[in-house]
Amino acid sequence: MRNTWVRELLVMAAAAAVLAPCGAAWAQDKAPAEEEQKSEEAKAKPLLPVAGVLTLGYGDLGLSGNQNTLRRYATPPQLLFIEELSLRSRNGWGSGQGGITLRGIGADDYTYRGNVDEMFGRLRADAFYSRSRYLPDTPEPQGESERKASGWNLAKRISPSFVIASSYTMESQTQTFGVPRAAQYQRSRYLDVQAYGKAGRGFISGGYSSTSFNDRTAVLPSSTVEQASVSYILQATPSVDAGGSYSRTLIRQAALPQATVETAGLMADAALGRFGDLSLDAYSETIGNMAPATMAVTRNQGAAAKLQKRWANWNAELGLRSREIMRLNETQDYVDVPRWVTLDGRLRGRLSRQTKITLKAGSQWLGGAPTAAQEDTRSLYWHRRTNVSARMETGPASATGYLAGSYKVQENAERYARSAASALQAGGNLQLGPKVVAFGEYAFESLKLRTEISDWPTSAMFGPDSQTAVAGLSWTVDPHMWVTATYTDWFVSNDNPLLLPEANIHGRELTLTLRRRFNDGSELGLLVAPLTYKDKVADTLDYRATIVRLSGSTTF
Amino acid sequence: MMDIKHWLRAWPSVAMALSMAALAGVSLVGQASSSKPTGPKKAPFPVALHSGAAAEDYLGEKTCGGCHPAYMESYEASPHAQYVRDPKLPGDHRGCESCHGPGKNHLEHQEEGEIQKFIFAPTKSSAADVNAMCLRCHSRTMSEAHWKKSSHARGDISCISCHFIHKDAKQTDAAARATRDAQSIRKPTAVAVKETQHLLKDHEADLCATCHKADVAQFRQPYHHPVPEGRMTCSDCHEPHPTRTSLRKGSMRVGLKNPTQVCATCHREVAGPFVYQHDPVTGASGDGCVECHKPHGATNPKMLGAFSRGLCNQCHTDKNATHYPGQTCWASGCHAALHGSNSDPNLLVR
Repeated sequence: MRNTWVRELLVMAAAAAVLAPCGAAWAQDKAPAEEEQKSEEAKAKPLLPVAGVLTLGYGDLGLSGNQNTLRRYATPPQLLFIEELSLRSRNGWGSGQGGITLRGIGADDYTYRGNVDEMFGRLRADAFYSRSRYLPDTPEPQGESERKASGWNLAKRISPSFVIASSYTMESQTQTFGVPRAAQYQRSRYLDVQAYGKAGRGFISGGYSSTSFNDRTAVLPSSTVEQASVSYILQATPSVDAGGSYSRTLIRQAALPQATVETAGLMADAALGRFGDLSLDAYSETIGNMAPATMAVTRNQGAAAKLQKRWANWNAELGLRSREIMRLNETQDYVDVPRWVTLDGRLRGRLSRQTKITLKAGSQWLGGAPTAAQEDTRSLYWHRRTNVSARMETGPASATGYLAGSYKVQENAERYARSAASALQAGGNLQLGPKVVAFGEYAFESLKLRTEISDWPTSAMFGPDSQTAVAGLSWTVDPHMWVTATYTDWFVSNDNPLLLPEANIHGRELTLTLRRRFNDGSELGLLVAPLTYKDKVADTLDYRATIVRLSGSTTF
Repeated sequence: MMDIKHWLRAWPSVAMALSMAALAGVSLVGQASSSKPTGPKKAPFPVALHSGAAAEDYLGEKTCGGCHPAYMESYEASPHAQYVRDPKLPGDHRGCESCHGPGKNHLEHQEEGEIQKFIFAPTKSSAADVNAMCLRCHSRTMSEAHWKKSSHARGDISCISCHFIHKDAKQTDAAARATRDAQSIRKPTAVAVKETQHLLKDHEADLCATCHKADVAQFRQPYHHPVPEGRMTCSDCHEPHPTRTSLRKGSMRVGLKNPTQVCATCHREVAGPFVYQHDPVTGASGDGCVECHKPHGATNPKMLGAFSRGLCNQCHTDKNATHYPGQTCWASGCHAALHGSNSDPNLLVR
């Protein structure tokens, strides 16, 4: 009771804080002539060296039910917080410019970033720090998960055509899971240094990178991956270019011998005049595994050719790819070499000035299907994959519509397994008047599974269907006020024979925003978002929330 | 190091090398035979504006601002302004004229039908011309050969389809912003969103959705990567054009960054390598991580393509109803190391 009272008091205080400057600005709106005069005077004044935006916010979740599900990916801000504080050099400082942007100060999730460009952009640097807190979507209460990332990027142009750059990222994760899985505490670091730029009639690049991973719970072994690489592309003639690349990677993992991966690649492009443009690629990867495993891949190589032809309003592509791997078994007494061949094509163009169409199709075949290193030795790999898709957009700017569909089939002939995924999407925008634009979209997805399992429950019972419908409206009330509404309704259905949670779910999300901008650039915003999530099997996952956020921003 | 046997086995590479040598030969012969009376190859329109200009043809940005005050204002606020004011740059790389071409001829030809012939207006030009002009300066991070390898180049997309040179009124129009917000997959309830960078015209997800509607719409599914929440952007996984990442990796083709490597950037704990690998994790069986996961959005927990045992049964068809205690293969606590294990071939423990 006391908390509610305090909260309401805080809401009123926050509202007063953000409304006061905006209210004053509103009053100024009512005297446009006076405002214009003031604006002229302001222009004449010397400007501050920095331009900035400050946005204050107050948020409330209005949550009843399972907060784990609501906070699955991020935590909406609550109570008072600074939504944005950004400062940016207004006209540079002679030879440089820069700024910082801080979002979510005082909230659970925040992100900070700053950048500096000095010497007219010949030296560029930026740094960032972010944190996000979320919860595992389990019925029982769990501890918070947290992900923090920080790092920097640096680039120095050492000549008009050559750059040296470096970047560093450190990411730490605390992840909690549902029973029986234990929490993980991990940290990874990434560092790279790279040089690139023009070299003769081509472009050269080379660099070094290092990634390290450490699991502080010691469940997973610590590892380090170091890579050195070099590449060169030669523009042989205006219509032909060719290049190559090489990289060597060392992988070290606790208690295991070192592994190496060497990759070499070649490529070429040629304009063949009326025959179109031809692209050729090839790569070969040799893998020295740290320890023999069940079936270890020791070589991976492939080649691809693509022909593209343009005419009038049409653009057609035809591609052929081949890839093969060599696998060595644990006792090193046999190898198998599965090979995939893929043929694909794409046609895109205009049926009329306002109608665009894209058609895609592809098929992949597996040769030399490997036996499985287990009791049932029939191959576990898909023997054939086929996909087709089409997309069409049509209409003038005031009434556009689009329709997209795709169908993908995968088949394993030895195991009589088949998976077919289909998707359909239709939507459009409609200008309902000079001030109102409506938007609608409907998407349907379905997965049909078939295997040789005939006992209950069959695989087919685990193929989900889903539908998502979205309706949106934007209304420009007057030149200073906008209203936006978006309603999303989605549901997922499964036969769910085992009555597991998260299989039959239904969500409804309505988001209403109102923004009012004043002549001095300050803005007042109100967001109201009623959200519901319902699990038809496990109602302990359900939640109902009405997220409310009031924000006021000012520029200086 | 690789031995010669490996190279001999690498038939695709050998075939490619031979093909490239043949292509280069054909092209060099072609170039030699064309070095005749037809004259030098003409540069694309915007580049030709510069190549035929003398130092006095460049009038400076103040002159441009005299007639185009609105553009001058947005140019002043743009990061480009700072770069092209470097006094060490040659005249044809400075000020407004670095992108639009020398102003003198433009000033001297104001007649109807003539005015566009002597100045470069990116918004009224072809994708090839716009890209050629941008690459005059941006060639230190990307060559034309690199750009041509991207699917965006093959789709005739120009730099200004996604980036602005300096913001125009349409991009700052609040009513247009409201319309975009109504369609966006972004959830306005989240505030810790990644900042829009690289002079992009809009938030990345909204920008990509302009063309890739079906792909972006998948983020509306209940299980997704946190793009709608602003914690991630499309370019965290995809490369719209060659970048430092694509220069570093083995293949120079761009599009999706190496599927397994890109997932491992954040999910290092499942990347391995493991002594006992699950084939899809290594990418050996085909599509790598996306063999099981749907990275944009899915109807199933963990962004899986199928629900519960329906996923595993697609390949492991011999593990029928008697194999399971009734739960999901991993959530039951059995195959807890399904991405890979260093100690257990059945992936039961890590």
